[in-house]
Amino acid sequence: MGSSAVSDVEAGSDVEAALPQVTDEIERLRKALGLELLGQEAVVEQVIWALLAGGHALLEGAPGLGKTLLVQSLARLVGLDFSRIQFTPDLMPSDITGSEVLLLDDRGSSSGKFALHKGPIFAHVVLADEINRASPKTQSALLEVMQDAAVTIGGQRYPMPGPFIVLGTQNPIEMEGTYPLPEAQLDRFLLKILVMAPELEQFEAILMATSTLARPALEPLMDKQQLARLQAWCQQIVVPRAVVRYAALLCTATRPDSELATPSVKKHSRLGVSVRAGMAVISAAKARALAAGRLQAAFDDVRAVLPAALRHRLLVNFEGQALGVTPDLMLEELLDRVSPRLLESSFAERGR
Amino acid sequence: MTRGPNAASHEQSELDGPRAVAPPASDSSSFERRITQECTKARVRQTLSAALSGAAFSALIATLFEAGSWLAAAASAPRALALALIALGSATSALVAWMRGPRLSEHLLKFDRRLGTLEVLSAAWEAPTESAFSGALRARALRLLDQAQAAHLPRVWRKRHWSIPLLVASAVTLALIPVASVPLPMPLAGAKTVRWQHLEDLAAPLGRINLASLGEPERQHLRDLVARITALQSELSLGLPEASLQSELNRLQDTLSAELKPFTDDAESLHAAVAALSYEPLTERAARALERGDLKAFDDEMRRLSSAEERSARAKARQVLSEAQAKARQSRAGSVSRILGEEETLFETRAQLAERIRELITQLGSEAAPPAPSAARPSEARPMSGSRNAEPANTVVDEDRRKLRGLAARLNRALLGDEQDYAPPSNAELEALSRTSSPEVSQELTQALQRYGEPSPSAERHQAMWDTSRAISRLQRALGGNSLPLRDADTSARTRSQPSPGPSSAAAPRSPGNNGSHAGSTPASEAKGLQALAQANLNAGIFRGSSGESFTESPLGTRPLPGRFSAAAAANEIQGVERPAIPREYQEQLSRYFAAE
Repeated sequence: MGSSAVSDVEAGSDVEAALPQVTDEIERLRKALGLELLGQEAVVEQVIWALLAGGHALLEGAPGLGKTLLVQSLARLVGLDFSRIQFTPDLMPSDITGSEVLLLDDRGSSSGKFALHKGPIFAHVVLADEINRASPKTQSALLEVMQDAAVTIGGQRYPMPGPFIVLGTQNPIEMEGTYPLPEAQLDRFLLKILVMAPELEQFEAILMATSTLARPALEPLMDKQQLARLQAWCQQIVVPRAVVRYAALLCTATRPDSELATPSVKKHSRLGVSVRAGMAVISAAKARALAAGRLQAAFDDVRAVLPAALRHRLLVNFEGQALGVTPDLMLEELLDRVSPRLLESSFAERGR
Repeated sequence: MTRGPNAASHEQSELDGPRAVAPPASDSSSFERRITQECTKARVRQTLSAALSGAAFSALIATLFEAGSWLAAAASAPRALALALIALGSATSALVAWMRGPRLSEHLLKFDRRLGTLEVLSAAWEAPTESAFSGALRARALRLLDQAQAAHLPRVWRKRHWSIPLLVASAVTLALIPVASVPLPMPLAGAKTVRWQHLEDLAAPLGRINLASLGEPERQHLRDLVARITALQSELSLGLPEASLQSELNRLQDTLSAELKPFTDDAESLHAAVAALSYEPLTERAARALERGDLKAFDDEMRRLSSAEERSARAKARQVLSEAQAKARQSRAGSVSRILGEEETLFETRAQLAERIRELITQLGSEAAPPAPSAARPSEARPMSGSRNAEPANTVVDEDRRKLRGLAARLNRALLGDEQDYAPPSNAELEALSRTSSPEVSQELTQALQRYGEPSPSAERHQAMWDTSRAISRLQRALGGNSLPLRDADTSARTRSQPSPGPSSAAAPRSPGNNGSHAGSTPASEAKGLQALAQANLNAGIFRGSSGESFTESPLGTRPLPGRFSAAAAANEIQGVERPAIPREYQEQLSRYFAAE
């Protein structure tokens, strides 16, 4: 680990040579996470996308599927500080962000001075467990920190230590006593990752792995500087204009009044996704490209990240919910309808 | 896309990713050159493919056009145009493909798709100069392009292009197969349908007119007339209801009759000119010819006067002609004045030519006199080979001299006005002339006679109109159920050698020499229209109209006529009964009646 490939890259001319080593770093991380969370390769992959893109992720799945384990393992593997916040209805915003406390002198009397008592949000990797159980007031406390990576306490603005990633979890089954996240809050998450129950073989492998041998403690694969450098690589990924246009086309096609909208979108979508959603698609596509060892994002990247990037931003109306229409279903139809080939002529027409 | 120094790279922190290092300018330009080269190659291939597609489409159109014109038997359709359409379609498609072809960025997208490179080429081309990955992407793109094969370029030959040879062959074949004759529509009950093929040009006499001597309006009028006659002849060769044919022939006759009466709008000038000419007995015949509008006879008479032997007679005739022209011009500077002006111009020339011809004839007479045995030229007297040939050679010389004497006598009579109609020497006479006289004399006499015999422009035009009118009259008579006249060659020749035509030519005085004898008469002149008319090959079914059936021929190589064509009715059939056929004689009688009135 000491001879990290990424750290050796000092010049653009070495990019070609360093890229395999970068890819190898990511691959090792993917493999290590996969060993911790058996049978959830897709979840691991998407978490890595979020990590490389520097975005936050919302993990949705039934209890007991390893969401918390995944986040803990991730924090340990990348050598970052980790904090866990268990969201409950009585959780207050200051319980997350922290507060200023009055300092006492040696005699136990007030010194007249305040000191910042940092909340659990001050960490590199924050696990917001069962985030939908907190009240909207508390949930909104995360808005600023997720968007700007900074919190304001007592009128003082405190930046988060970088890298900073919030991984929220929520249970889609037990809705009683929960407060569904508002759209503005959901929009702050780069990806919404669905954690599905494992298949039989995977289930068996999990049971075998967790019950027979003692699992060794995880060793960090990189430090925060190296992670930051990976994220810098991710930002440098080149996105051709056609790919950007394709992402924009897909995002605008989620609007019910769009010409490219599918019948289900036209009928069941309440509103199209935001501009931030498009940015999220591009960021995630870049991360996927880098994870695949490429220096450029492609149409395939956009198509691959689209469901994770848009499923929590696409609002289904009441009729759609009643009929069991999900955002994933609508996005699947959208991807079938809007292909890159369709874009070729559109791109050529607009590009003149 | 040039790269400058990347100052930002120096400020990168330790946490930054890969630094942007500008590749050498040569690499950048070579990359751009390579990309441009590949895209141009792709564009050219696409243009070629579009040209072939255009050729396929236009070949399809051309084939349909050819097939349509073939089935419709549209002989007048510009069939070669269909073949030109193929070339035009190809060129247009290529041009449109080149002009509206995809841009470079789209070419790169397509390259990426064909190569399966996940947009490496597009990213390499669009990577910003400050991007750290620009150089690596370009290097990767160049490697991919090196590995690319021709199969990754746009295809030139596509499946649809296989139709080109077939379609072009079909179009060419259809263009080469003769178009079937236009099927005749089913005539109305009792209507006659006429088809007259192999008919020579009825407008041939009009074609002899020297257009340079006419003004532009007259030229255009003549062209229109020729076009009408040609169109009628073309329709006639395909088949035409008899009523329509009669109607059009009558219209043509009306037009020609109007042309043959040149002074209808210039009566005052005509009267003045005729009065002036009639005052002098010398020009009385010319006055009568002018009065009846017979320009050919008038021209002949003026030619005769211009060649009068006595100088005083010529001067007198010239003076009267000038006075007549002046009086006509005083009344109105119209056609009468113009025609008299033409004759006045020709008068002096003809007089000089006549003088010279007389001199030459005198010379010719002395040469044509029977030679004394000792005066025979050595070449004529000497046997060609041995004594046995001496007799035939003398016979030939005597025959030539005899012809020459006859020619001299005839020309003398013509110059004296004894010949009713001046006729140039025949070929036999010219050959005899060349054999018996010196070449200079022979050539000069021939040229002088030719110029002397040239009619005035108006007379030439009048004669052509009259010939055409006569040809149409014969056609009308033939349509009337009579057998074709003038089939006999002698009759034809006799008719052609008759004196100047005109509505009242029958009343013209006959010359003493024209007493029915063929002696001294000119040989038959070429009159293709009339001769062709006399020898026209009528279709067997030309007069089947009473049964109401149509007929057509089905030459070898043309399609059989489907029955459905017989059910169609031509629109001009209705017009065919608009004007009934009026006998030519009745028309002429009416013309004379109104002209006299």
